[in-house]
Amino acid sequence: MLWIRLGLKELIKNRGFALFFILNLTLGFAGFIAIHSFGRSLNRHLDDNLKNILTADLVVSSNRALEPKDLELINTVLGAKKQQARLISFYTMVRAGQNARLIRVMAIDNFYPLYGKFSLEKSSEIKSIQNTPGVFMTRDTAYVLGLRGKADKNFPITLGSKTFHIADFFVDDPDTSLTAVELAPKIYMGIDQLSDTGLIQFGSRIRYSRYFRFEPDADVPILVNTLRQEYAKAFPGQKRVNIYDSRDVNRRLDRLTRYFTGYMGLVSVVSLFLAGIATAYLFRGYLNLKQQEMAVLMSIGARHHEIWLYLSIQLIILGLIASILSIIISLALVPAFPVIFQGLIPDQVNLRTDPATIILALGLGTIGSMIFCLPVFVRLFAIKPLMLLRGTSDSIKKNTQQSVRQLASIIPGLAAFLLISIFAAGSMKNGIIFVVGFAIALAFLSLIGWLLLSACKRISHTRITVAKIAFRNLFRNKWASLSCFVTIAMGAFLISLIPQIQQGLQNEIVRPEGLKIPAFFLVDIQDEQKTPFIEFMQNQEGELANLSPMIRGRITTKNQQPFRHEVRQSDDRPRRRGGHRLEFNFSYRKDLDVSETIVQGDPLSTTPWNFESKRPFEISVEQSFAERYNIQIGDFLGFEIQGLPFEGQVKNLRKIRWNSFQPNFFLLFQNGVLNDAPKTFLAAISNVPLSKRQDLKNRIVDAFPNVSVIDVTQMAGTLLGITNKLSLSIRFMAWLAIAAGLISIFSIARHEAWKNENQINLLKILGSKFSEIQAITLLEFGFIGFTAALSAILLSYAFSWAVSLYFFDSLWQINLTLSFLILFLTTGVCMFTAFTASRKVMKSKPMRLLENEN
Amino acid sequence: MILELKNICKSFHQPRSGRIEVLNQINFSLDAGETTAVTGQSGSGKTTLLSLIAGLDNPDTGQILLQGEDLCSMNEDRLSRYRAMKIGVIFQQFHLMPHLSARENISLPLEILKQQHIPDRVDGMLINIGLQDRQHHLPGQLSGGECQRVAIARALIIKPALLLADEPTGNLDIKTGEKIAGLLFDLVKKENKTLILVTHNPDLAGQCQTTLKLKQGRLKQDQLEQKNPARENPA
Ligand SMILES: Nc1ncnc2c1ncn2[C@@H]1O[C@H](COP(=O)(O)OP(=O)(O)OP(=O)(O)O)[C@@H](O)[C@H]1O
Ligand SMILES: [Mg+2]
Repeated sequence: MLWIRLGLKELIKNRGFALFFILNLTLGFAGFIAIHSFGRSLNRHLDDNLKNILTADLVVSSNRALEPKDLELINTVLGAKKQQARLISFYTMVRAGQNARLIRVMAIDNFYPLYGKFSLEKSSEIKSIQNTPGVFMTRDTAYVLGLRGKADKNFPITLGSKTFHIADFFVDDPDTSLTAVELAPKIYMGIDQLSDTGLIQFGSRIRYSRYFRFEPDADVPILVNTLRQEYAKAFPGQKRVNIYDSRDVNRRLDRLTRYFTGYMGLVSVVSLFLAGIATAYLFRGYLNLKQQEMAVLMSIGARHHEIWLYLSIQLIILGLIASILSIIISLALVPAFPVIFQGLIPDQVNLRTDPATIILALGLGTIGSMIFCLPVFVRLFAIKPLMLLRGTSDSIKKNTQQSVRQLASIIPGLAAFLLISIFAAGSMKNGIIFVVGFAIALAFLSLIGWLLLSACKRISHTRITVAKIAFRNLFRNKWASLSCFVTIAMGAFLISLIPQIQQGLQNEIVRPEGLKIPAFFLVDIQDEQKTPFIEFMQNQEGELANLSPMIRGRITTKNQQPFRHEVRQSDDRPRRRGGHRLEFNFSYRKDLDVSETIVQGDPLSTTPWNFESKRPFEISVEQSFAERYNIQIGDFLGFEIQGLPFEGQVKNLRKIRWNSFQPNFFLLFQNGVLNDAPKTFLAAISNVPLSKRQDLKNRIVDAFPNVSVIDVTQMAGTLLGITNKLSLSIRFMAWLAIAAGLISIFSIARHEAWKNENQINLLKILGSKFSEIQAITLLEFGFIGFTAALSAILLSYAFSWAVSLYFFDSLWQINLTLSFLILFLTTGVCMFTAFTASRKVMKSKPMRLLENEN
Repeated sequence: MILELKNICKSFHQPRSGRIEVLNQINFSLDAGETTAVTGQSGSGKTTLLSLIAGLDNPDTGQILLQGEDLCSMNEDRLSRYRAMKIGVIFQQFHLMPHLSARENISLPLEILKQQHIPDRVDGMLINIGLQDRQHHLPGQLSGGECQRVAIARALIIKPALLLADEPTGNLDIKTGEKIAGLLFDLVKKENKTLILVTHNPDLAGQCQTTLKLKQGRLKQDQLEQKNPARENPA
């Protein structure tokens, strides 16, 4: 009780310190919680989107009907708490009137879709197609099948040996998915109507799928993994089923969200870390001021653990106040996000602060600040009442035991920081990379600071009194100056790192300028239709772009070994499906598209490859494809195209701007390899006014009935909408972090200037002029601020280069304007704070000096 | 015998000037109720000797026995409590807790040591030092002399077996210094305390029963047992 009472009293008496301490911590925590909740909410939103596209949490599919032993295994792993739906899908030719078209049939049960729902013109229920032979389709599909004019319910559609009618039309295409472009339009029918079509027995490419939806708190990735492992155990060496979840729906979007979460995590850790170093710094200063009082308490009988208790209580109270304040602030702030940043956040995002984050904040405030201040606490052991007899606190001597303690005391903080980083970054690996990066930066900046301060000794050999005093102060108070330097530099480093990485992420998200988003995507243009099609398009509105040949084939070998999907265990994310598809589309093109860049290796040779040469031709491989199949430059790949064997060698790795929506291929071959092979063409059409789109689509279908026209407007719109919003919020976060960092720097500078009070008073008494004292202060703080910011910015360049490379595999870019701004602001904040503080001291009575003596 | 020093040596290591022998083979003992002055030139080791007796520092060799217990063999926490119960220290710089009132400063040791009847004992002490009407003032609002009175009260309130003072009047003007010294000696006599007083002031030293003179790290042997004439033959 005594110690609690004393601690409280002490805090009330040191209101200035307490306020700044709380302010810093609150800001850091609030930033952490808000960013964290925001990131999580956004993630949830994207997740839900993806679930809507997949219509389920998890899908098991196979090319044969699932047997009882499959279902038993699935049921044991997934548990009872789930809903399920069935789907059988296959491609077949459909006759409707005069036309025959390739169609994808989706035979569904009453529960499909588990997420989202069909929106139909007459709001028909799925039951209506279960009981009678009816189908749902879009009006576009109907048009493709030859239905012109108004809806015709009796328009007959023959599937196998059975005739169906159109039960209803979709208002929205249920399939504006972000998945790979479908080759054929879909029609939906009841699964019960499938049996007497006669299609099932000889359909070779039928997929039987089960869709599952779990309780909201289920951990789907783990379920997917367990199920896969159980399958591998139960049926070793057999590939019976494909298991996947919403993350597989769109790898690109998943990649994007992963970057985004990573970035948000980084920003939130940075905001926390900034607050952490600022408060630890303030606390250290506070403790330094209190050393004598600790010694007095010890001399009248207080033991070390009591002093420790006395200080912990103060720290815990401050931390608790800060976390409660920050929780209140973020609770108020998070729901305000959509209002404040309208248009910045997708409207539907359900923003909320989850209890886990709140508990984390409380824990951080109390235990966290204790752990973070532990190195400061350890110095307590060095305080001896002996110093009361000796006058100064210089009697604190460092012996080896204390140094060991000091070092050891950093470990819990580091461990806690590591845990938080892992938590915030969402992955072990990234968390460790953050922390190791911070540690390296810290070590590096300390070294630079030490060298600089040593150099101050030389600079101080000057005739100019002001410079002499300023630089002598710096190197005489080496440890104080160094810790100030390192703290400010760390702050500036983190501040300048954020926009650097933001730039990398931005590049990933933002569409390259001058790139047109196509309106349509055309599939299946036959070789002989190529010229007529180009001529046809010349008379139409819209621009034909990227007419690309496409040849299907198989990859048979890699470096003379059978080609197989290599699962890499080291990866911290579970591998996704898609490994066992051995058939791919190949293409060739003279020049790379604007949406492509070579990231490794040399461009493909333009001289046509000669079959007789017996030399392998050159191949360009898409980067993520190369990663997935572990393909490196120089690898030999064996192909089988139209029954003929070929061999090629990888010449370069290519990065494709995934949001370009252009026909792109994983593998591009050297000119001359595929030129004579039978092929079809893919193309994109852009620059079609919205009002003319339907018209153009119909005209293409009329003129080239076999060509599939896919409208990418909606899908591109959705994706670009998301990415634009993300990119805005990323920029906003960067500025938030900068603001928080400047406040930390301000409070550190304020504390330092304040510590200088005695010296300023002394100089004043010794007869220095007001302007001289001010010049000394400005020079001292300007020097520290400037050099700290400069070295921090340079270091951040090196780091952002590494981070961009690792996290975003994007090109490194530096933002000079911003760097100058940070340099200027940091120096400015330091000088301004010191200036105002010294003015305050100058105005105060020299009496303070006398009072400070005792 | 309340205090006994046996063969105390203390030296400091300085990176530049090497080893400085400050105290060399110090031997002496004190009886309960005795008052002793330690004098000597500046730098002769008076404060060092005091800090050893107070258990604030360790000697290189030798033993310090307080009521028969060896201070040097105690661990830190035990020493800290033992010291707090048995030894009161008065500093030249007062060293009051700046955010506690005079009264709170005086009661603090009792609270730390979890003693009984605190308010009564503090009241009594406040009367002794004559600061009843200023008991709620903070140290910043008290004069130097008043601060030192509070410090003396704080040292005495635990009824220590041994009272140590390092230049208690060094920070005060002559008149105030004399007053404070008077108060100190009165209280010591009244409570029958053992006092070791470090001072440069011959008058102050003269008021003690014994004077120990430190010179070049040794107690001057001839004066070791010499009693102060002033005390021997009261005028
Ligand atoms: N921590 C230390 N490190 C090194 N030398 C020390 C240390 N403490 C004291 N000394 C040296 O020991 C010697 C004795 O110091 P001490 O403070 O005991 O002298 P003093 O008699 O109290 O002097 P004064 O009358 O000026 O207070 C001095 O020469 C001093 O420089
Ligand atoms: Mg001394």
